[in-house]
Amino acid sequence: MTEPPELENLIEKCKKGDKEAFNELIERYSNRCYAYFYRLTGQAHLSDELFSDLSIRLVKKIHSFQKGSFEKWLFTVASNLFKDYLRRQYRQKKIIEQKAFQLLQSNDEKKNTGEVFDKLQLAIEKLDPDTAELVTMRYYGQLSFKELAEIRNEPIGTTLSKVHRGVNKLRRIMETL
Amino acid sequence: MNHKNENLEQLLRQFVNEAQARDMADDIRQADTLFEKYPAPSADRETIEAIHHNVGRQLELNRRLHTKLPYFSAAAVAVILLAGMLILRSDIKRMNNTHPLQAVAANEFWSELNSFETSMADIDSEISNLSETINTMDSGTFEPFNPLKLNITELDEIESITNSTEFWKG
Repeated sequence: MTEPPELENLIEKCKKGDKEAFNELIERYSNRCYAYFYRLTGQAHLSDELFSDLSIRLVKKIHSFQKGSFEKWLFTVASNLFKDYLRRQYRQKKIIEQKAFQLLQSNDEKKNTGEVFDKLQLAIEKLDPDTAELVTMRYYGQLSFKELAEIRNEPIGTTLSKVHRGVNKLRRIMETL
Repeated sequence: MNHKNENLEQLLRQFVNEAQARDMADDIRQADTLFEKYPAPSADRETIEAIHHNVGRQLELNRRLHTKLPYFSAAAVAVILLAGMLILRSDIKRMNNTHPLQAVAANEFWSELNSFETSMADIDSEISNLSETINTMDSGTFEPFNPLKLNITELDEIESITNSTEFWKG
């Protein structure tokens, strides 16, 4: 899948180190990327930090994007960044999963930060971290199931099944809130 | 939000029957509606401006690094060459330092080799002499010195004189 010529031109300018092009690219994807991080962390300051890191990584790694879907590439970088963040925090994978779950579950901590959460945020926090990431990545990344499956390195049928189960669970949780 | 205009039902029909595919597609679309109903907050302007500033700084850093890269490469090559030269020099120095000892050892070696060769030549000569003697003995022409053995003509002469003188004596 190739990107529209306008986006391709913008990316080419970015590869040449054009600051304005980078600013435009960041503006274009800021809402979706920020929302992705926000839904996963539930914390504005962490989302700011991760989005800022993503922008710097975009500058550093833009040359590695060759062709295909830019969104798939961008959200793969975002996903890796989020995993790196968890890894930095907790080092071991097992602990990462537990702590990511705790991170999503820790309402008390977030209440202390003064954040106001919508029903969707509360419901996402009740999902397991993998499903939460899958569902948020699909929506904010606007990725096809084929792209999601490629990012996750799993068969498309598995991704379809996981998303379906995830969104059903999300809806059920929201009905109880 | 579109998802690359994906035909969800068609995709799902690869795995489930038509009715199930329709239900599953509806479930997934309803989840999309939830996300639309509850939009996530956006990054504030201050954050975006800070990011723009950081991106500019990173680009400047990249540019500086890019312009300095040939110098860094040249410096790296120079360091490698210098290190190589130092190693080579220390090797040569080490070889030079050990030269007198090596020379003494070499002289001793050659003199010992010469004396060994001389001894071997003597032994070889002795072996040749012995071999020659054996060959001569084998051929039957060897006559070892026997002081008791007299010349045959002389013996004959003596015997004839004795016989002639003693014959008459009876």
